[in-house]
Amino acid sequence: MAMSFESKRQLGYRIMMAPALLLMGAFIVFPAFYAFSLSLTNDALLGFAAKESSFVGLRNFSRLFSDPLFWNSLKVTLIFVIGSAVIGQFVLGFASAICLQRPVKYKSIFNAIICLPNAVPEMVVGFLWISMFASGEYGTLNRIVTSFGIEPQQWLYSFPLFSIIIVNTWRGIAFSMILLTSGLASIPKDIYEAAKVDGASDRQIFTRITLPLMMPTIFLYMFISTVTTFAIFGLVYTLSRGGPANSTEILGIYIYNQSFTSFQLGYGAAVAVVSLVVSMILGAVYVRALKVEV
Amino acid sequence: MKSSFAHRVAIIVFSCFMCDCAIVQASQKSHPTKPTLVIAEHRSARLNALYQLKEGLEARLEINLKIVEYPAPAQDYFTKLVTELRAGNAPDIFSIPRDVQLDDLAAAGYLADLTTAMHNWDGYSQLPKLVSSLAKGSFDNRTYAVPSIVAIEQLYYRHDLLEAAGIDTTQPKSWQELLHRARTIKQVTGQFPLLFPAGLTWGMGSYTEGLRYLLAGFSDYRLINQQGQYQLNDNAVLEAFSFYQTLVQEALLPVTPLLNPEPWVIPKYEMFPKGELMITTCGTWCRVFDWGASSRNPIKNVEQAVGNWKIPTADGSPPFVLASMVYAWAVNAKSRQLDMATELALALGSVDVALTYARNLGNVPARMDARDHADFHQLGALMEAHAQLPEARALRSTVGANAVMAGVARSTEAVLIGREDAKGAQQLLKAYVASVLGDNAVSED
Repeated sequence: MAMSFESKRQLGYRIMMAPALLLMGAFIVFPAFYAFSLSLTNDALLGFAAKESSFVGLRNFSRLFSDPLFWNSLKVTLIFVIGSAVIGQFVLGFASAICLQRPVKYKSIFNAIICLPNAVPEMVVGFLWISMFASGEYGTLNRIVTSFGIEPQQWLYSFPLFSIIIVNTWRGIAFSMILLTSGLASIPKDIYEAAKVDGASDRQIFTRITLPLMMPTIFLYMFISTVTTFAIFGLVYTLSRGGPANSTEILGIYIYNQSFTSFQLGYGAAVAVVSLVVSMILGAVYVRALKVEV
Repeated sequence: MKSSFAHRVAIIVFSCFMCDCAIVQASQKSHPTKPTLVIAEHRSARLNALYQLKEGLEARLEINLKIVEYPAPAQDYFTKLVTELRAGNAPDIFSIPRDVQLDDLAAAGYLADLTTAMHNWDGYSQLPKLVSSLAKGSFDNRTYAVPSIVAIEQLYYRHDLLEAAGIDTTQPKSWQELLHRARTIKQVTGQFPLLFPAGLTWGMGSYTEGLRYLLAGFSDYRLINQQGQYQLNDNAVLEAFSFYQTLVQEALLPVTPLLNPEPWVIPKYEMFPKGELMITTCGTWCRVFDWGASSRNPIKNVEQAVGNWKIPTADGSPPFVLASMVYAWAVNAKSRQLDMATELALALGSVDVALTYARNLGNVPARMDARDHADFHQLGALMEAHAQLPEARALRSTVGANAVMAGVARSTEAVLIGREDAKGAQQLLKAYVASVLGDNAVSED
């Protein structure tokens, strides 16, 4: 009973995929199920529950939905994702990609400047921007604004959410630019030439050719950046730890605070499960509702 | 070419192997037969003290002591320690930053029971009753920690600036008197008069360095009742939140800095030294770390410039000082060398060790016989604080204290940002603690 060529090929594919599936199972699927099982208990890192946790059903979820701090955290996360990933990174990344499509002098230097923030680790970015935003006369940003006669500001206190959106936008432009540049490069040049022969203006070329043909790349970018921005932790933790007054407490920080500051693993896991579900819904919206194949 | 490359790789691998063997042999050569105990320590002042003592302890107990340096901030240290205790890979011996954390650790089964060893220890009888009781689990009355140093906490004020402004610097006896003094300071100097830590980002300090001072101001109030439930419905809790509300409403407290990620930095390390804040809650360590000669913003002649008042009471009873058992030594219940680790913990409770730590940290030794030690006079002004130890107050907590502290942080923040009044803050605290620990954890009375 010899295997056909097709069966052998299929088997080969499966064998090659096996290590990836195994790793995904061990480090993504299993922890997700474990987190869900944990969310149904009162498990904790301290107190009697740490020694012997018990099943509490959906109590953590009912507590979570009546917790104003959770809703605040969800709201802050959505604003952060929309502000930095969907608007900030996309608009600036797209603009950079279009600009660098054209013949520009010292193009490689501009490319390097835009890509540099992405090469810096998240925590280092946080500390760099702490120095930028530092209050008093020593903060870099305050030195700049005072040279224009503006009073020094407490940036992370007066504009906390806006500040972390700026930092994340700065850090994410490179990824956006690289992905969108590859999308732009895939558009055949003869379409542009034909449009120009037909007398299309630059605006018409952008809105009727570039944008529609870029849609799959744009939505792929939106999908990836939304999900990754949803999971950000280190950058915001370094900059603000979720404060002041919870104004930058994104879901990642909220989960950390519940699990490792309040030491309530069960409740923290419940928040993580809800966060996962929200991410999956957002992903499904991109992938399904917009009918883009990813 | 290929053989040359392989040859080089082989030489490098062999060299690394030989170096590794040499390092292992060298480390074993120092004390080949002695057991090694792993001890967790953090913050440079504490690490310096331990490194000073290491050789003596190793010789006295015939052990090798491996010091593992942990993150400096108390919250980060505690989080790392707790996760390692849960994972079963924590050091043999470690310190508990505050007595209020002991019950939660003991109930989780992380701490070895030291009751018998403590009763047989010569230092036990030298501990004030208050301190030895703080080393016990409230739920089983077993001893889980060896006290070494104690923080004496009270109010610290800018004596130099108040005198210069002609403001009364005598001990305020009641909350009303303290508030009256605060209003006068604001009126005369225009500066913020008073700091009681509050808010989410101050974390457990909102309770330990803030609300606790106020609750202890009621001589008949106990945080836990006979059944081990938290008494959060009590009028004392409402009165304490009302005090905060008054401070916020009358702008007697600097609210804005308290909402920052590191809320202690601006008021304690900047405003107080600059004279923009006049009175703050603090412990004996403040004169060393926060405003001492080696601090970031030292206050000139700090001993004279900064005075201290006992904590005024709410009910007219005499003012008092608070005592907290800080950094008591505990033994990991899963230590493979439990007896040796217990012996080390007791050695760390000795007077000479306590004096070294007390000097480095600005705290006082827990044992009363420390005053008979030849080096006691080196404590300087701390000797006076040590004498206050037998009369000091403490507010006993029980299992779930971490949830209470998290609840206090939330509810005081609600008062700070004006989202809740005192009554609302009390309800918020009760609801939070009940939601985390269960309804039975909070008394209805």
